[in-house]
Amino acid sequence: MLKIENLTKIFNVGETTEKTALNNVSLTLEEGDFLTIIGGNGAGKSTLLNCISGVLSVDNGTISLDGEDVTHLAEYKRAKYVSRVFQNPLDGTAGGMNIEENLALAFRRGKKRGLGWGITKEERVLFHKLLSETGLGLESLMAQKVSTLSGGQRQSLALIMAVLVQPKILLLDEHTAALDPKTAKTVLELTQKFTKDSKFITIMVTHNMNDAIKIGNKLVMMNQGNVVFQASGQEKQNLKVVDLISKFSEVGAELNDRILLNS
Amino acid sequence: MKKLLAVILAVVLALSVTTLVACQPTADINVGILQVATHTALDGARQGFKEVVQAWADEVGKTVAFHEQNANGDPNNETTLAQTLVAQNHDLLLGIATSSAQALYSNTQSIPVLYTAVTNPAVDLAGLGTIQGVSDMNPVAQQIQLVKTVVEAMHPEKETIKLAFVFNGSETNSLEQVNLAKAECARLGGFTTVDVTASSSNDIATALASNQMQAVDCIYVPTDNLMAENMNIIYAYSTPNNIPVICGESGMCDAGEGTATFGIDYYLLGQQVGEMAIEILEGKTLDNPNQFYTRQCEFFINEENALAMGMTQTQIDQIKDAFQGE
Amino acid sequence: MAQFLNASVGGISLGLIWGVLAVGVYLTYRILDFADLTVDSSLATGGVVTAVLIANGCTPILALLASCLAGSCAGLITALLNTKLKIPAILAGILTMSALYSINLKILGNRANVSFFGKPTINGYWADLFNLSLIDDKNVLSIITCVIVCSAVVGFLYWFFGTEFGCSVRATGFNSTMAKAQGINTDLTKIVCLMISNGLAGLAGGLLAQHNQSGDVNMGTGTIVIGLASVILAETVIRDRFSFWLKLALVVLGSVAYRLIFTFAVQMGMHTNDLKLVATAIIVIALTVPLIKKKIAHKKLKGGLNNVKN
Repeated sequence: MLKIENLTKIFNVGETTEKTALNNVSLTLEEGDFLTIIGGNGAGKSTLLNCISGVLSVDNGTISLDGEDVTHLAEYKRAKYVSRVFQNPLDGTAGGMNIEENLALAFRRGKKRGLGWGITKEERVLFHKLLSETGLGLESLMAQKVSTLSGGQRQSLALIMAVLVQPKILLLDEHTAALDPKTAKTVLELTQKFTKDSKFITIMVTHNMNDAIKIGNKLVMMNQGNVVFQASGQEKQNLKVVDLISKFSEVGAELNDRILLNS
Repeated sequence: MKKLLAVILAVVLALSVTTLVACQPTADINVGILQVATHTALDGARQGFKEVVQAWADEVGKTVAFHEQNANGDPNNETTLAQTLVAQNHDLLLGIATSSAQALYSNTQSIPVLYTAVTNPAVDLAGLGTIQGVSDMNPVAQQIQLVKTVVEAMHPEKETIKLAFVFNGSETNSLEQVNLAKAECARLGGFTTVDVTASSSNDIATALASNQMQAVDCIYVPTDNLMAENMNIIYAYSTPNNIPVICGESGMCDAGEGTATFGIDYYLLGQQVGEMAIEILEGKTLDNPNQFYTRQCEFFINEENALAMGMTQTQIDQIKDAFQGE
Repeated sequence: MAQFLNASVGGISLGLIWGVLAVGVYLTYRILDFADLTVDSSLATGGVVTAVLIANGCTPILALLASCLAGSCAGLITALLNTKLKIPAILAGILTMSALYSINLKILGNRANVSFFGKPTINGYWADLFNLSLIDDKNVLSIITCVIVCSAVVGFLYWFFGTEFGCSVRATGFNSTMAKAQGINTDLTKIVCLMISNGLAGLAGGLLAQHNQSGDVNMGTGTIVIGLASVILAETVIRDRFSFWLKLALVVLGSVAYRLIFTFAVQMGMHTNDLKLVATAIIVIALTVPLIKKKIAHKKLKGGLNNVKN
């Protein structure tokens, strides 16, 4: 269970560019929940994810995971519980290393890295099996450098790496935004496949309101650092895109082209 | 096709280069010289050495070629150059200054190596086997006596002389000279001394500006490689403050603004070691392989500077009489 | 001709000594992607530690180990400045390098150098074994020493970077964002990599001091340039598909090539004042090789296309 209470994050305190990115945000998510977050630019979506993963420190409030307070836990230590897929396909994998090495790295997330071999024979067999199950053809490229893969392939790999060792929270920060529509669809399907009947919490930030409604069981709309609208379960499924758009204007949020064109 | 042409070109180039080098006229006698850096004293020693050996070669009707290398103060260069000179298999090698002598001795046992401009060879060249050459230990005691004479002439009313030693704290030859100087100060009495040290040219000006330099009556600079290259920095301080500078050797004074010195003539030093070289080249063993500088020490006083500092012509003449006689 | 061969032996022995340093530079510059300038001083630290220890009766091998350790401490300082105090990499290296100069002088007892002629060095073991002269055959002895040391170093690194921790170091260099997200303590990996790299620099300094039988506070000047030049020379022949140990071995050979070019230049009568210019020229030429290759490949392609058109 993820419990976020009164989370506040302010950038550039005391300067003319001071901005409250998160304003007393509170949120509770149970095991198996899949939350989609939507909002205009500067709403605080990415900031929220960065606070949960530990990349950014918080100014006020707490984040607790299964009763344990992780608000001030270092990013690399928090990675044991939190895995992420970034928007930029280049950020989630090490281009200079090959596929099996990347998977081996992900396999050790949350474990102490000692002087044992970086990748074992058994692991190679396991990875081959896992990759073939995804049906992307990556299992035949295992010894190839990741930099030779396409953006879609890299992002798929990043996704596989994120769930290789089951996390407690999976953060997806607009992870299909940089992909072409066809590849985005493939990656989204893969996402749903991995998260179906899963025991972990998934949080996905998206600009695509259709996806936001259809995928997952909870939805949250943010604006200027606040949660302005929430929906879950049946109520969420019954939402229409026009409802969301009118909600945007209600709260005075800016609708940009990306949101409109992607919905 | 292109590759073949490139290869042929490279081979032709290599061959022509090797032939060019091989075709250099070989002299009867080849002498290698390694010098650590450029300054008046070391250059003077090299000059004296070459002229004496050249004169002897002309006399006996042989040609002599000098293969000179300068390390420009870089210890890595020095090693490479020493190895190069050794590889060239000369008849004799000369190391001018301590580190150059060390580099040559540690790279060959078969080629005869001479040292010069090494202040304390017994200590600095210890463990290198048989060494031979001429040391440039300068007459420190007499230089301190010169300090006393000059300051007394300028300030007869003073009871104690405050003497500043300006040198590179990391050069052992300087430390040794300063210790000898302090011993002489103690023997003569009436001195207080301060050590003003710097380890690189950037630090000299800062060191001179320190509190220690207050009310200093005279500056003494031993034969220190770092200071020898940077005397202008010292004079930029001493001249406006009317402080006489007594140097370890005349090259440092020649820079124009030093007051006086009584020291080794490095040209004559070079000649002395040249004479040792001649004996070795003639196949003889040296009776006295480790010599100190035996020639006359040179007295030099910069009269213009002395007058500007407030000395009278009579006083200058008195000092000249006292020291030029030795 | 014999002269060249003689001088080349000297060049090879020095090249192998600096090869140890070049491998260290390869680790930080290429693998960790960290521009580390500490090596100028950590090499000197290694050299002066060896000099002082041997002059005071220490055994040569122990002195080398101590030099290696001293070098890694220097790397530790730079790493801490960068990871904990958030000082940018280049600046952190420069700060440590400057501070070490004073420390090196202190180690030498406030002198510029310490020599230990006549004391046992690591070359002594082979001199006895093969009945060679310590001084006249010094270069051959150093080559034997360095071949052993370089092999041990390459072997160790090949093993190390195949371990879990080693892989996490490589990941840090490739993509530290991703590394952190995978739970890698990037501060720790940087620290360990810098310690190893500067430990190698210290080791190289110790070997150099034993070769010259003296340690000088200025023996490290220009180290980073030598290291980078060796790496760049090696990279003109290194291909991605080469195995890691081969790449490291080529870096060592790059250092040997660099030193041989210098030896050649000096033999040809080049003035020492011009050596720095030669060094820069070599590096620039080596850096343009990939560019020229691309142009040639492009011309070939154009030519091929033209032929097809016709």
